[in-house]
Amino acid sequence: MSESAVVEVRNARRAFGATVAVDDVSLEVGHGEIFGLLGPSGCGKTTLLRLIAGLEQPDAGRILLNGADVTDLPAHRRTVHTVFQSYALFPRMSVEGNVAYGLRAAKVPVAEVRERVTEALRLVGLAGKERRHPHQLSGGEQQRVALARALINRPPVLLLDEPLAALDAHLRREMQTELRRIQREAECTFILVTHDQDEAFSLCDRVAVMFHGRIAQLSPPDEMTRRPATVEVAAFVGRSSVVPAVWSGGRGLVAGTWPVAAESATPLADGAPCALVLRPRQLRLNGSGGIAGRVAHVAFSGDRYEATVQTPAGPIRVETDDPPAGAGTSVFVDADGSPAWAVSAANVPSD
Amino acid sequence: MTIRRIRWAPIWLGLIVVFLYAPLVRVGLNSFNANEIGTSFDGFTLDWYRAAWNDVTVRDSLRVSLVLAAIASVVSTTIALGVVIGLRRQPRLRGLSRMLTAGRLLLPEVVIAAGIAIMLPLFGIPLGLLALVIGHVVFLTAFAIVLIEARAAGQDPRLVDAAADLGASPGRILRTVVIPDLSPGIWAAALLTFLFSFDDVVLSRLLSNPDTPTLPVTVLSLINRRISPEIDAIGTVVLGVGLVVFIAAALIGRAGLATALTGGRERR
Repeated sequence: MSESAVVEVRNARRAFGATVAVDDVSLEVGHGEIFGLLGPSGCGKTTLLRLIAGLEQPDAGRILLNGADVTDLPAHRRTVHTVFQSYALFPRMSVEGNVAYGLRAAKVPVAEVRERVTEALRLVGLAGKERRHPHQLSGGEQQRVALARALINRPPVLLLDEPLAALDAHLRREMQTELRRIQREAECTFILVTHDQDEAFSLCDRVAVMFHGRIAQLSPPDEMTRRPATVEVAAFVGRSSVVPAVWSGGRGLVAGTWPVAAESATPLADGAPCALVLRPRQLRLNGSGGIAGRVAHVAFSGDRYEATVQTPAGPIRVETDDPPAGAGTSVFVDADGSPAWAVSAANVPSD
Repeated sequence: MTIRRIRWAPIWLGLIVVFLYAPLVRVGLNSFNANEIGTSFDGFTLDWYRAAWNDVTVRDSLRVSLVLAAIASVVSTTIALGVVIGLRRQPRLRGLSRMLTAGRLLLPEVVIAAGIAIMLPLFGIPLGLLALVIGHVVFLTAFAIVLIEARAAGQDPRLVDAAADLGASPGRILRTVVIPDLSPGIWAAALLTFLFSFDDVVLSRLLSNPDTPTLPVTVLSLINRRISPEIDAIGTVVLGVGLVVFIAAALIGRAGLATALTGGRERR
């Protein structure tokens, strides 16, 4: 992997005063990959992105691009370009001026500049808007200008900081598809920062979840929801319910009464406290069997129902095809037989 | 009761406007008045302008004032721009700079002027244009810093990040992003410092070469000798110059802002 890594971060650390924004983070991003940095706001994902861009210097650790150590290179000497959150377009320059900025900084001949600007604008679907100014463009168009501007120098890696956060839901879905197409056409590696797991999961080949400056898990999206590494990851990603249990003979015993078949990454000792990650889809509502509870509320999500059931082990979300019993009804929750996921935990959240 | 208050408001406003501008109108009218004492308007004449123009002292001091204002404006705006750009790199010095700037703006001008007048001979600098330039620059740099800083405060720091990220060297970022964005502030500073320098009395009074004083100093000494419509003529010209520069500053400030913020949006 080291051989083909386009970006490599080795034990990077960056603190602002007493706050450690990035704490001993290491990761490798391969060529042509869309890599996601996911986490709640303040988890250090944007700082990590700025370390890679060179806009921030690490207190410790190294940053490598295509195998070369660039830690001591300032941002303008690195071949990495960024699409900034809310774009940071130059307000006094036209679309053409914005997009050509990187080429002019690199002293590319005038004729080639014109040609490549036209090509870049075509790539992002903004052909013919060269003379406009940023304030004359819609949010989606500004986003495309930012993309064209960052892609024009053909960087091996493009960094995107919350690229879709400023767009409305409809435009966001459209741009997700667009981003994939542009990434393929430009043959570029993308590293994108987002706090939106749906965005990360639908776009990215691999995702790193960060909490408090550290990577809690780095894996493909489906593995992250099915096999979360920690309770924190399980609670942050997906819509699974996390309940405390005690490990006992290949099963997690929930609330002392409900055994649920489960798998875990590392073998657990009998009697060890653990957390069970229960996917709404692997649970069902019964008249009897499983764990007793009371329906707290029911949500309709497009084509299925999701009932939140208050149980002695905490709230558990269950997905059903048919409308479940209304709020206040006593029900039993049981697993459909497929194994749940168990995470070893000394301190399982009590709620 | 309410109705009466509403009726009074424009009258008060009218009185204030008259109080503020009547003297200027009187100066303007009197400069064309054939009656020397100005007790009544006895016909239109340009004699006073002719007299002022033919007065060698007045002409010389107009030249001194214009040269001084031009140099002082360019030098103080350049220094201020340097300070503002420097502060972006060394934000820790911002407090110190603010204190020094505020100090120069708050201290009575006459105190600063006296201080400079005492200091200059120590460096072997005689009273005259060089002394005037130094004095005006010390004072006007503070104004220019305030004007340019106000513009810099509204600058989006991410634009600098974006430029660096796209491969622009620090010098290129200054040229293509930072300074163009500051330009309305820079122009406003250049024009207003020109204006302040042009009609400054206190500093100029203490630092002028007695043989070639600045225009306001000359006018002051003319008034001491005799009140003549010649002074009204000079005053009207100065007022005209001031108005032109002030309107230019306002227009440039607006135009600059317009491109950056509002104008384009209105156009859309």
